[in-house]
Amino acid sequence: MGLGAERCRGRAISPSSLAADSDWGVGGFPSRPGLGSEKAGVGMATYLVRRVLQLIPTLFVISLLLFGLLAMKPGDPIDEMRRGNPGFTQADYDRLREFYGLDRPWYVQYWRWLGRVVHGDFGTSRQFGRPAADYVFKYRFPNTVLLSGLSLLLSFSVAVPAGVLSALRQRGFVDYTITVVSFVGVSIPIFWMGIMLIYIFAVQFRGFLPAGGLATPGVTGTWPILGDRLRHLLLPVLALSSLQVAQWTRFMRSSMLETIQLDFVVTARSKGLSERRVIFKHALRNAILPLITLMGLNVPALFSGAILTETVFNWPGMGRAIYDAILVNDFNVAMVSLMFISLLVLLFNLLTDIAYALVDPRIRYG
Amino acid sequence: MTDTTRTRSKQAEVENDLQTRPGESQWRYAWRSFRRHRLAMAAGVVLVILILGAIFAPWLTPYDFARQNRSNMFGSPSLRVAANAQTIDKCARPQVLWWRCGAHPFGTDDLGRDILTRVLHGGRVSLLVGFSAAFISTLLGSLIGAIAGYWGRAVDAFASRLIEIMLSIPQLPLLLILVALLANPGVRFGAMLTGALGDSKNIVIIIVVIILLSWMSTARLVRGQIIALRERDFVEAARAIGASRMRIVFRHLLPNVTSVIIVQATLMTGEAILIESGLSFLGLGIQPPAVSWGNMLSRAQGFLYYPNGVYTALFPGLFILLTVLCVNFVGDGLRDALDPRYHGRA
Amino acid sequence: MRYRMSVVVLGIVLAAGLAVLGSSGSNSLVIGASQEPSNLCPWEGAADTKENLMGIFNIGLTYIDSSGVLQPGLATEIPTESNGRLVVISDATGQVIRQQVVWTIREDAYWSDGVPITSDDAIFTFQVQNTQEMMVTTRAFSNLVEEIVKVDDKTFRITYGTPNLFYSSVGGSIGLARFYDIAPKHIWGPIYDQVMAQIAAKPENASTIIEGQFLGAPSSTGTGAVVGSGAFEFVEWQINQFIRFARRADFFLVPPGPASNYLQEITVRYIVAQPTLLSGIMAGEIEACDDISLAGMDPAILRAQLGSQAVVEVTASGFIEKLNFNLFPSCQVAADLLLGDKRTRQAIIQAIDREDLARTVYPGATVSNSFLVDGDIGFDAALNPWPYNLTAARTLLADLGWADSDGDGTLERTVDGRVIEFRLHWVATTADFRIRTGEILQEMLADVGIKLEVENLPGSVVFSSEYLNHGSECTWRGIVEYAEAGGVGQAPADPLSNELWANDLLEVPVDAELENTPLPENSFGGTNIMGWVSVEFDQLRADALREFDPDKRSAIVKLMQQLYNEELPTVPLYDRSEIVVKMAGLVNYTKGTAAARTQFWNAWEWGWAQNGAAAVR
Repeated sequence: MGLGAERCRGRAISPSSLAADSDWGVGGFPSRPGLGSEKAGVGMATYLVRRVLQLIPTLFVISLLLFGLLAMKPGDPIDEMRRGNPGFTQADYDRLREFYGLDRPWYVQYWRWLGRVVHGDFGTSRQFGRPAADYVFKYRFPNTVLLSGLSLLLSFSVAVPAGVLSALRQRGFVDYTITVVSFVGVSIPIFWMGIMLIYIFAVQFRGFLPAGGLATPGVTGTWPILGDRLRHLLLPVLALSSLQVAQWTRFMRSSMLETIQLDFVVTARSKGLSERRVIFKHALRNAILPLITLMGLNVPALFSGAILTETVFNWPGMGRAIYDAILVNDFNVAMVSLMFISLLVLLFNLLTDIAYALVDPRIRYG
Repeated sequence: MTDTTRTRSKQAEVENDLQTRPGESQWRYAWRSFRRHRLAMAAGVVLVILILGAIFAPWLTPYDFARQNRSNMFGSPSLRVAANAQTIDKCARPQVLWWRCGAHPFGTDDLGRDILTRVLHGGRVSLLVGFSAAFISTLLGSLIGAIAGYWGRAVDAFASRLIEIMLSIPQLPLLLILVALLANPGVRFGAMLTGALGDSKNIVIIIVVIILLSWMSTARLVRGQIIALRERDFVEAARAIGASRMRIVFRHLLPNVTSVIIVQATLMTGEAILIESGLSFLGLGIQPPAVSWGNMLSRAQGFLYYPNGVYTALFPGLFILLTVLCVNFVGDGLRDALDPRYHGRA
Repeated sequence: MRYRMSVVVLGIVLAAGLAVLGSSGSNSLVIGASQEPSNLCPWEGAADTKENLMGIFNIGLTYIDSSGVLQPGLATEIPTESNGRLVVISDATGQVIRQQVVWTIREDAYWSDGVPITSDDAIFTFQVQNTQEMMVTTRAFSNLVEEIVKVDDKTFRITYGTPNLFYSSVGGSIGLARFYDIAPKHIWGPIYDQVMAQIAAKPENASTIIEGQFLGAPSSTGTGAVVGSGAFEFVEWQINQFIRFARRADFFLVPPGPASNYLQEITVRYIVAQPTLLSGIMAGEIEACDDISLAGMDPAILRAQLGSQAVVEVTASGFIEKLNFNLFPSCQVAADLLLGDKRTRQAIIQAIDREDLARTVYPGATVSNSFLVDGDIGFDAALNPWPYNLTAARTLLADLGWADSDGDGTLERTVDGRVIEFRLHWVATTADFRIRTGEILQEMLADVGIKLEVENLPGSVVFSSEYLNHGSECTWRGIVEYAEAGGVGQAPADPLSNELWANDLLEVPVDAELENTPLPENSFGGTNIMGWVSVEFDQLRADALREFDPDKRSAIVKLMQQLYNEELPTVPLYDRSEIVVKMAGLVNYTKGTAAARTQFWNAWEWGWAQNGAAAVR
């Protein structure tokens, strides 16, 4: 959960220390990688193969753990049916339990699940009666991608200029303001911000912006549809980005500060290049790299972690789907989503490790 | 001038420097450095006020946080006592300093309870969860990190693998599952907890779950530090005289890492407070009738359209923001003061 | 420069979006609802709140209108003894042993794709319902059917092996758990045959096959041909977003005046969060809501917010919120509190100001004193109202031996040297109004010295059978609060106080088992989770369910209520009100009474007054 400053260069476990759940993660700001020195005797390609192979047992362990935890929770959709149907008898209950295989111990259920998954069948959602993978990836995943993607874009476009500005005007009024605003952004509870936004824009200014939802049905024509979607997206993206903008601004700032003081910048300056060229051509390009690493690590968390925003704004995304599935014990939906995100986390960690290694010549996985 | 002196004087220029005084301990220096950070100092003062307010909450207000007054639901915030107030018999005491029974500075909530009182009481829970979860999680993480870092080899490999797996599992859903599981009386463990802990079961569960999911970052941090430190001379020396591994870790290595640990603990507090309020907001955290900032917000969602309903949402959230903000400022100030790597970055 | 451009573009697009608002266009209606159905499979119904919208594109053999009167739907007429369609066969002792009902489907009844509705459809529906491998929700009513026989293309005869009081009610004839009785054979027949063939080939995979191919069939998930018998036809379903319907020209029930004056298109939008739903209504995006989505809101607040823009209608729901007590002697904690003694329960009901409670947490609700609601057959309005009376409550508790000996505000009593404090455990779900109820009850009961220990758990926990049905093992050890429909009404889904009977004396020969009370002996099955056993009540219930004469049945039901009102195995709090919001000008969109069961029972009559629709309700 935390954001530590512990990225050890040269020794690649995984830089996932910088990852955070988008809605929750705070703990201040991630910081620049420290300097460490570790050497092992393995080459790059071998490392890669090793990491990819390690994915499989890791995923296996994760799936076992998650399934076991989920299975331990009593309650299932059949009990929901019982409540809604006063004519429901005990015989019906027993029959349905047997039908869904819920009367077997959890490890048997896990084995059957695993068997099906290996064949690509992720089971049917008990809530919605359709294939779980289908439901999650066709109806929930795109919404989360939309929300998180836009928020990522927005955060990046705001954080980079703000961070650079802050670094260049260090200790000035601008820096001070941006710093304080960043701190506020990191400390604000996202669900509260969402509620306040709804209050201001949907309640106070009646209907100016919708208080949630994906879109208004029945809208036709490209421009109206686009406009409608944007209206619905505005507040959730704003709420979701607040934390990220704050974090990335500060990160960009410290990254920029560090880069400016590095030797090659001094060299460029002493060569007589204009300040502007120095900043934008040399310093910025190097300073932005760690931020991109950070972004890469944040991406998987965006998928599962936006649940608070999705709850407040009634956004039918993946985070909320997981939450609902957990509460009513819809194993199939919960498992397919959770495994997908775990896979994403592992993949992105690997990718950013590789990218960082390729880009930064000082790191050797040797 | 040599390179090092040039860099150092440049740094001094840049920082408007704080030179170490001769014979000064690391802590004194850190304190002086912290004091120069005006924002952090101010935040520290505010934090202390909040903590005191939370501790003394039962005596600071004329109201009992649970006492309902259904004839005055959704009252507007005002410092004056309303003319038709029949609240005298609903108060715990008639007056505290300027605050008369009948006056509601933050208004009243959906059952007529004073919001300011509830915010203060909510702070007790939120701050308790925040500080204890952060503290214990940092301790646990430091221990594991130190042992992994110093022992190396198999132990390190195992710990690192464990950390990686824990970090790969989607943190938030895991949190939800664990809380839903442990708080569930139908599960054997949950029932045991209810029996043992009674009313405070939820608080303990949340603290435990937050610890379980946040020790990893501290562990990696400390591990990195230990690895960097373990080849140093003083460690060599200790080994040479035959000190046991545990002794080296505890007496020699960890004390050098305390500054990092302190910073980590402070920053973790803010996180823990946000996690607790988020959980309570989703309905899995502190349960009513106990009051926490998060569950006040959860209730408030449905009342945005009621007249004065927004105040039930505004104030708890504001206080969460204020507390976490102060904690973050203090943490940042501490990081500047204690961690030599961050000098000049402020 | 580029930055400014993008701002301008954004502004234009936003403006375009804003301009779209307020254009409702054709004769259409957007309804907001909070609970979406899982699927559209005719045999699997999860909860009737989710299935509400089935009434838009389906209709049963009969339906109940907003005045509570049973009307023929697909049937030509309602079978009664006088028109010869109902034949009751008794044996020598007068015991009803068989019941035959003859139905005739209307000539002008067609499926939405033009195929006529025939008795083959009815027989097929029953066949599927009875197939053992099928995962139908309940067979409680279809099990009463001995056989269904085709008389001709439009007529069929149902034979019941035991008296079925609800033979003509919604869902009572064939026994589907939904608002209609007949499913299309020409659509589901092939699906069914294919599924059964696959099961025959691989019986061990039965559940997977049915889950995937039957419940997951395109006709069930909305991606294939969804065919119904009702006023509108299914158009599309965007899951988690909305379902759309279009008017059928060939529906046999017509409103006065040209059909073009009435709604041509209906969209049901799914919005889970109440504030979002409300803001949609206020923005004009949502023009009406269903009966359960705004539950718990204050109608006065709604009226203040909406003004003359919309009409707020409050109806009774038929669901009574009540406190169920743990009456099992085997649960020591509950037994210590003397919950089994009716005086305790009478004390508690008088210690709670139910008017105040209802007014605060569920504005618009009416206090209830029975397990039936107004409109149900035999509803007794003259029962003891148990008014708020702290003195009487305290006296009763003192009579039982409780006293506050140590002055801490909580009552104690001593038994065999043990000191027992009156700490009463209370459980309910985490719904907002129940959380508030818990806090209010806590305060009210503290006034008589009862310390209420409040615990709100998620619905999936509270209603899980491991929890609710194990009261005898003290999983819940005092009170569990929830709402249930108890009315006998005219619909079998509320079969006469489903949770108050212990022994079903309707079977012949009568067995001595308490089959409805969850105990180790019957594997904790049953709905009488309190463990209340009253032989007198069981006998009255059996008599009522065998009595076909409405007046006589009414008299018996009145006796049941008087017994209930005196014994109070559950303390009824209030009849939950339902709040329906509809834009000014929307006519005939009304439920009227709880007996109608769904807001969507009369979609063919809905319309906008400004488009010429006539108000007939």
